[in-house]
Amino acid sequence: MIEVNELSKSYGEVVAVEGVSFAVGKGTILGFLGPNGAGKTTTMRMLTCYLPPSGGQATVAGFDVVEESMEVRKRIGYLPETPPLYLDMTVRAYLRFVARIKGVTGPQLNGRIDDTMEKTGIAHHQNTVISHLSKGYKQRVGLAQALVHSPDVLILDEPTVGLDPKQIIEIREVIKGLAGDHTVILSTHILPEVSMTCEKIVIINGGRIAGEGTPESLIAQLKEGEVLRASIGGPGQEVLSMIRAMDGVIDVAVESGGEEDGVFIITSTPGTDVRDSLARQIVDGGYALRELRGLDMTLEDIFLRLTTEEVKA
Amino acid sequence: MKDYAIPISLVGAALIIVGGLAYLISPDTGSTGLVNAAVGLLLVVSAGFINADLFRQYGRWLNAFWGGIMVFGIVAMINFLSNRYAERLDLTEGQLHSLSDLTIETLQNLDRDVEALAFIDGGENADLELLLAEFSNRGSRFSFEMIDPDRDPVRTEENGIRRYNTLLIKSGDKEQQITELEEREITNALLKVTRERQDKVYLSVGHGERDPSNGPAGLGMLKERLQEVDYAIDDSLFLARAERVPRDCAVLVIAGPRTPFLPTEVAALRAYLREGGSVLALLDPLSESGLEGLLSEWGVSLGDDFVIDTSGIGSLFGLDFTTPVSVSYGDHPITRKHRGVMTFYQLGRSVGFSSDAAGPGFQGEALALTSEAGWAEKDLRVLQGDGDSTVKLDEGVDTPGPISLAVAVEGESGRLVVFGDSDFATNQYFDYQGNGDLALNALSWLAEDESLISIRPRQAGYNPIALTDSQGEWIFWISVVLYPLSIAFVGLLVVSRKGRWSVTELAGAGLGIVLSLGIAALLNFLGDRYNFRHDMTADALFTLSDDSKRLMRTVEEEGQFVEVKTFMSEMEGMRFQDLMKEYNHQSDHFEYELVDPQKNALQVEQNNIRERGTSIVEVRGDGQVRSERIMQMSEEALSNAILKALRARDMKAYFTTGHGEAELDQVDGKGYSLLKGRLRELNFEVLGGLELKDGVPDDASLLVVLAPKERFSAADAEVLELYLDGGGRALFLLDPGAPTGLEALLDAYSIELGQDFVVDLSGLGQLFGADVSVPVVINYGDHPISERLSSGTMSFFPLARSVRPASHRLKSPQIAALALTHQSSWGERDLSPVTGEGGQVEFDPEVDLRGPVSLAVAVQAEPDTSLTSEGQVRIVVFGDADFASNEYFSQQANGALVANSVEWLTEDEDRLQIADRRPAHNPINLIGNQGSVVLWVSVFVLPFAVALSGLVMVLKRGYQNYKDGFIAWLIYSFASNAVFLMISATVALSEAKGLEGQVNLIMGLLSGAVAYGLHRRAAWAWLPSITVALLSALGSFWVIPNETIQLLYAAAFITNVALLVWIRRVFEVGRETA
Amino acid sequence: MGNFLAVYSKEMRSYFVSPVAYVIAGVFLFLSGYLFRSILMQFNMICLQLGQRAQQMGGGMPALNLNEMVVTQFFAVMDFIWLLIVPMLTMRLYAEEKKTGTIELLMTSPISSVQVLLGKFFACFSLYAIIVSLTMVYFLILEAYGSPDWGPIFSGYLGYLFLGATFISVGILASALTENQIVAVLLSFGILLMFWLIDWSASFAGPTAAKILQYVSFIEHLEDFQRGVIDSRDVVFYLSFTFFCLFLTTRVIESRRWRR
Repeated sequence: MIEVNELSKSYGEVVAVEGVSFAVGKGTILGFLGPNGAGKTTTMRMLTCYLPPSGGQATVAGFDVVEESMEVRKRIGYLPETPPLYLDMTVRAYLRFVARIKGVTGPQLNGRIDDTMEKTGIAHHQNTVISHLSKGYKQRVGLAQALVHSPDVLILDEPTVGLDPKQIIEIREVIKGLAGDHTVILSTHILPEVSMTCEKIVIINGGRIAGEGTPESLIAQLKEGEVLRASIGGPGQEVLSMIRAMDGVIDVAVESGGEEDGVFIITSTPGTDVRDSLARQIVDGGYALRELRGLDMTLEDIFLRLTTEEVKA
Repeated sequence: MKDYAIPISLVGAALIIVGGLAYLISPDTGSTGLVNAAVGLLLVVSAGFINADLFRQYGRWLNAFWGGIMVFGIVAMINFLSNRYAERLDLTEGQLHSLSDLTIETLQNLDRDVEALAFIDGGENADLELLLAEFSNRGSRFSFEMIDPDRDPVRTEENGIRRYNTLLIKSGDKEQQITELEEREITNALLKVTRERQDKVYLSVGHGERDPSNGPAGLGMLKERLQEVDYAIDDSLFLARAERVPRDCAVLVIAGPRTPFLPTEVAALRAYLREGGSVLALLDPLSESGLEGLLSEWGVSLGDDFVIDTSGIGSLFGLDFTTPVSVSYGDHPITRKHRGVMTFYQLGRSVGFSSDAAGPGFQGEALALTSEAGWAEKDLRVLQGDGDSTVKLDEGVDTPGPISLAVAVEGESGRLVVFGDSDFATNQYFDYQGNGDLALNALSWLAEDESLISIRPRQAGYNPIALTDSQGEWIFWISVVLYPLSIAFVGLLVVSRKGRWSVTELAGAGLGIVLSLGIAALLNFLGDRYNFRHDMTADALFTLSDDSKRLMRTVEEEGQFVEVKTFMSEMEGMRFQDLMKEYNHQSDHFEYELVDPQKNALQVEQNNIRERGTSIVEVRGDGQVRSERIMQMSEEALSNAILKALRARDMKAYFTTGHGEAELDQVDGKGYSLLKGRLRELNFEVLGGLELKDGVPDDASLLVVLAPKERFSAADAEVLELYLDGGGRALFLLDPGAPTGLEALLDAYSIELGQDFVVDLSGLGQLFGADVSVPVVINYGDHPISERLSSGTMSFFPLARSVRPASHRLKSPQIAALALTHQSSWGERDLSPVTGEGGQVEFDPEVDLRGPVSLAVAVQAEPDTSLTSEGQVRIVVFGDADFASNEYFSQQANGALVANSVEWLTEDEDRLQIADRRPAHNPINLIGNQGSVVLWVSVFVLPFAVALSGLVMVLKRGYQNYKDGFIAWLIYSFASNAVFLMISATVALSEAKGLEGQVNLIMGLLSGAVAYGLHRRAAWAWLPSITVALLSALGSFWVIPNETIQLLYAAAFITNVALLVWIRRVFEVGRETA
Repeated sequence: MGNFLAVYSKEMRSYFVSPVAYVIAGVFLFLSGYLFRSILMQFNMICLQLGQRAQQMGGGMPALNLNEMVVTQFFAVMDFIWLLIVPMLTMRLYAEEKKTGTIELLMTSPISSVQVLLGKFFACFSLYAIIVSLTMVYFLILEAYGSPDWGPIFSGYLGYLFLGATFISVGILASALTENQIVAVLLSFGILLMFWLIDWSASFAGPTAAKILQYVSFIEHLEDFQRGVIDSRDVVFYLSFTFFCLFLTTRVIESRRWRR
């Protein structure tokens, strides 16, 4: 549904986005991860034809973002960082205006509006002035304006920012509900949110794609070894040297270590499982094995790994 | 119970405030206020018992309240002090705005209040107001007021103000009027008004002198004017009894004594003069005053004669030659302002001064003199009625003119002014031109007050700024174009450097702007070229007539350019300016320029412009410039001028010769070069020396016969007649006494040439030194030639013959006399004086032509159809030629008469007739209350209707729903009503209207309570609020003075009732928290 | 076309909902009402005075033309008040959109920026026209008490509509240039005032420059309208000026795409 290749954008000498390429299948939800200022918003703005790209090319639903921007805009619902709300209008009037400029005309206009309001749960506030609404409800109205013309593509820029936990969960449910008939690009820097709602992730940093794929594939891709977390009773130093001596162990990091006990992060070569031999060695050494757990690489790790390495490199 | 404490304490506080204030305002009547305050205190204390923690709240309220009072007090005090000891710093270089120290000193020790009333035309005079403000700043007891006499005629009459721009200084019963509005004059008036010592003018009585009565012969008016200048008049001094002149006598006036002064009186006078006294003596002829001895000691010689004045100026005012008229004056403070003003002395004697007769220490000067045409006639029998009426200047006996009629002498200490006549100062003659002022000036000089101070007049330092044109332009380009552009450029640089705009983008934007600018400019250019103008006004004020449009088209086709210079300022002649704008819009070949006469005197000189509103119309084209001059500011005049200049195909003016005609190029007084110059200015090519025998050339547009000396031969007359009958245009200037041989020809066109010369005894010429043989013309005939002369100008005809329309009307011409002399002139057929034999000039009715005599005639007739089909015959004949000679040409209207005649003679038939479009006259008169209706509708109702609808919208949107909005409005209105009633209660209580005060107070408290109830949406609040609303609506008619506000107030509360009914359900639901 | 109507009705709605329009209209009507009344009363007084004087002295009455004295003068005085009022109407058109970020909504919806601009322009112009037409009341009063010539009144109003269009276009341009409404107001005041007074400086500039400056000043072109003459030259001037400003505004709005 959305193909982006080698997209780049620079303001004068400052390069905001460079060589970004990715694709989003129809009906899938793409997580767009990246620290602030990584170029997320700029990319989204290019996809929604708000900013013309300096280089590269992108198509939405088959239409080129630059050449046939009108067609693209018909098919896009865009919720920017700050919801574009006219505070002096009532909710219904606002949605009516947005629907009309998004091309919804004639009989189905009111139907669409009521339908969207139901979906985003703001029907009971339809006659109140937006400026009187709470932040949460304003965010919902923002979402409603993106949905009111049932666009093929939905681009949401950090939709849950500034909401309380309960509201975040509601919004997430709504977004989840969209999968299937809408293609969604969800940009956020709240990582758990992405892993729960998105099927596919793109990580962007410093204007470039740092990683792309499903969470699992990313983990597999970046996994350098099996990682164990062991909490062992016994003199820290001895235990440390003992583990390091074991074969298959690449690296041992001390998470916390005192005289009598210590907690160790043990990385072993990929594919090997050193847990049994480790358990035996501890018992033989007369130490006490309190806890042994395999650590999966979480998204945070991936994210940290990708973004920090980049910086080092 | 507990929660009732607060309302009670509130009520108590309200009572304390209302009662306390009422008592404070007026302690004696405000006693009822005290009662209320006591009750209030009781309530507050009791509330305190009910609810203990209220006292803590009281603390907070109290110190807030007192804090406010304290601050207010301090601010008021500072203001009071600063007002008291204000310092004013005058930084201007010439100390422009500060008064001289003497004035300041006088102002500061003013011991009584002085008021200055300025009666200024239009009510405003910024400089005077500034000056008077400075006076009142310096002197706390000096106050002033600017008054517009037109708007306040009653006060102007009351204060006896006669002229605009008069300043009246008043203190107690003393008044001073001054017209020169400067610091020195004001301070003098101040001094006179506040000074104790009052100058007294004594009139000596007992010798048949004139009394200060109001009869024609009395001095009432002089007395009145003297009182105005703050002199007291005492007419009881009989020197014989008083033995000496009283000490406080500023001036002693001896007005027309008939019986002589006694030696003792003369001695008293001599002593008074020696002690520094001043005497004004008005001594008529034929009367013995007995003062001759004393006067001769002061070098003054009284002639026993009477002055004859044959200059005839008096005749203008119906006075005969026994009333000398003085036009020239001595150079003396008394007569400084009399230059060019006449004074009349009915039966005056000569008064002379000789310094050697007076001896050292005396300086004297003649004040008023007659012209040379006057002399002092010794033979007094005429006055006694028995001499024959002819009065002649006989050498040796009478003293020839000019005769002095008054003298002023200043001794070491005393001052003396002697007039040879007393009538000039009487009521009958007082208002004749300069008489009154002369008497007053003499008196004020005599009473010269040493304490008058002279102050250096303050003028702003003269530092003009003179920029040449190029400098002006240079400044323009710097300040208006380069400077802003450079700033914009720097701004652009900063913006682009920040990386937000790349150079390419900037260039793109720049290109876009230039492109769109180009398109806009192109549109404008096209719009300018192909434009149409549609005049919406009903009277089509701004559309040119078709003739003018056609004219401008022909101007364009012939490649000519029209340039109009009008001599007036922008503020005048708005209609004419609009008109010229229309010409300018009509075609680009028309330019116009306004030249303000004040600002460029040089141009006025060059074009010798005499009247404002004159326009010079120049038509330029194919190397030639033709100019026309128009006086009227109308479309007809302008278009005709353009047409004439366009058609001026080098008109030719032929001057006949061969009959002793005058030479054209002679430049001296007798020559006619000025006439020739004027003809060229009117675009004529002047060709002299035309021999009539070979006929008049066809291209002649004008034939001039200038002062022929010999008779025209029959053949020449024949040629002339042929030319005229064929639609010729001729100007005849024929001197008297010269045979012309044209009588028959002129008679054919019913013009009668008089064989006479005109004698004019009207005396009009005397003013300009012209004698009886030079008839002077003031009234002109009703004809285009004389119409254009500006009214009231004279023209002079040295030695002219009469030219009159004949009684018969051959060739049925339209004939009109152009210039008529005064009645007291006649056509003298006895030509002997002209031909040099001299002789007496008398009017004998059978032979001579009774005045007023016509000196010039203009004839217009149909041509002889056999000779030509179109055109008209036009002839102008003047009975004199010298009036157009160089010497007389530029005298008043002479030149204009000739030029107008030439213009009329060479006018074409197809002169444009364009009606002048003036805006229709439709005034408006609003009487009585219509004016206030307009006021209400346009200034109040409309704007408030709009603003109110906005308020409703805000109320509707501002709150959750409109109910809350209306409740907010209700709370607001009831609360403000409460405050208003409290105030009116305080006022009522302080004026001891106990009942009204209490009622207001209670209503106020109720209203406050209702507001509180509404705020809490208490169920109980609904009914009381309706009752309070109704009571307030009714009550407003008593409480509020202004009936319009009553209406508003009542309307507001009726709507409140309606609102309360409408949102009734809010209260039924019970207490719903806000 | 639908888009244009959508923006137009939205702007009109927000004008009439917020108290700004009412307050401005109220203040303006108060000012113009007061001016009208004082001009009328002055003329009335002059008529009375001259009337009496004519009877006393039997002299001819000078042409006291109601139109010339009241109508033209009223229009002449009013045009400066527009210069104060219009920038306040236009200040919020784009500045507020940019401040609240709603500009992104407009720019990412299938509606061209020209349609947005025209929608806003005509909304503001209709409000302006409504306020102008409210002053028609004064001339009804004139009709009641005198007989004004409706030709110049009509052309005077026409002049005001063209002048208004030009002022609004400048106001929108200023509003598009900045996010802060105060800067927008000041900017439009500055530009309008400059064009208002530009013919003053013309008298110092060289001949050709003077002619151009003379042509560019607003008052020059208004004079004919107020006198009752409709000249196509003035119409073209005002329309081309408006076109130029609106075109600039679209460029400024588009440039937002380049800049950020």
